[in-house]
Amino acid sequence: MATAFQLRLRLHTPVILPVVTPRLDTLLAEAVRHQRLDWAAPVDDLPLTWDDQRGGYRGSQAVFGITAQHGLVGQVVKLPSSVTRLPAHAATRRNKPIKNIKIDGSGTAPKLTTHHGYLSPYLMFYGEGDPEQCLKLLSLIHHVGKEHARGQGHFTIEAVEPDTDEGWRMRPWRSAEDHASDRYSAVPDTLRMGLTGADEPVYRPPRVLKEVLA
Amino acid sequence: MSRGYALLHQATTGLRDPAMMDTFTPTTVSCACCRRAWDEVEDPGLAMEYQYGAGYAFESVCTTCYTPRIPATAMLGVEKLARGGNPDGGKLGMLAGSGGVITPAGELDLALPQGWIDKFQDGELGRLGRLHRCGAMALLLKLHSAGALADSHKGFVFIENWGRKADTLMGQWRASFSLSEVWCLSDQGAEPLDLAAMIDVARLVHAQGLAKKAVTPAFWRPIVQAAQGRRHDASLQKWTEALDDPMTVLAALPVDPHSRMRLTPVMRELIPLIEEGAL
Repeated sequence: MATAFQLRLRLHTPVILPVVTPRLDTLLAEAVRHQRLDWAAPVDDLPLTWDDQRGGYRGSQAVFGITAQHGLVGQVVKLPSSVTRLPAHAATRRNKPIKNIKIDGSGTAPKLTTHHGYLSPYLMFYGEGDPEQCLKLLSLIHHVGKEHARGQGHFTIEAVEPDTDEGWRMRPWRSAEDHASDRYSAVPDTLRMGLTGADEPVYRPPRVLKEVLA
Repeated sequence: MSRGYALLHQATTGLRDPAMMDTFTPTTVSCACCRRAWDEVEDPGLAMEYQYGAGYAFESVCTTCYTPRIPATAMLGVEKLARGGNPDGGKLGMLAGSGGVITPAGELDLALPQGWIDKFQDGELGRLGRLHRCGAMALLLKLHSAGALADSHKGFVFIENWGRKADTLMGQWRASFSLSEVWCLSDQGAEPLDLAAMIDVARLVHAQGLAKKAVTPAFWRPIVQAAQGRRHDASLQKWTEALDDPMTVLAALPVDPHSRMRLTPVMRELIPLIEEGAL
């Protein structure tokens, strides 16, 4: 039987948020792909409740958990741009072959890219489904967000607890009324075509959500 | 994600007309700049050739991504005379230090220094009164006050700095749909800013008679330092004592710590507008 739960993760390194904040269902889908070693096939059997009416899994986006002593901190993270692009750059320079590779951002060398990282003591996800199966799948993943291959967004699973506040609502929905309106003001996002042909916005929570933990 | 590109394309249609003769059918998978597939771009299946510099290979970019590189002689005006006395039109992608806003109606307004306004006043944008002598943030707030962003849910674009690197600017080009999350575009990338929260904070500190202090870095230092992870309880205590109603201001602050780090420069733009009654 599906139960509503809060998943608390201990965050060790800053999370670099992509444009779309990571959600529990997208993380679990990635874990399933890790498990199956299949990155292309669609994943439609996650241990979360599928909301037929709203057309999405009942799994929230990431919420930063803070305490009275430790808040949500912004850190500027500078990392070299991906070096795997170097061969492509080398291929574009037909007349000037690369002889020296520098880190200071010359025409073809990797340069430092500035990322905005977010660090808090905890990272939480809310969901409705089978929490034990969700824990099992999440144990396959150790990082969340961008630059995860370089150690950003490293987490460990801390606890799973029952949730009575329908925290799973904290994710994009088509209608503004479907959101947990007492926790935040929904933000209109990308437009989708409505039934009459006019553009309608999809509403989502703000990218950065935080919650105070006791 | 395409809404931002569509707005730029709509706002700069006249700029591209002379250059559209140089389009060709691409053989690559996607635009080399925005990485969108060729059937997703505004002029499907039409590419323009771009070369970073001598010795570099030619890349295929979509007409929207190429737009900042086109000399906008009619839309802006003549920037300078090149060798041989040939007029060189101003390019949107070379307005370093200047900003702009594309409204939901698809109209481009530019925030320029006086020198460029003098140079470009006879161009199309100058004649339409869409060149503004102010900062980019001030232009955005001015248009918001005038109601030009009333349909913000349809998308608008805020360019904080056109810069000089059109690749980075166009590669991360995106529209904003709410003042709660304004994507500030520049040639360093795109970063979100909670401008709605900033406006609330500015109104609150102004109402508490702290307008003069709120434009100084020292006033916001405890908040900025806490957002950076350097929290000093004594400084924060002193800060709360300086306000009549600190809890309301704290509750109104943006949740995003990176937005909090921009409190001082944004307050410098907002407080004068509130004092004028424009916000």
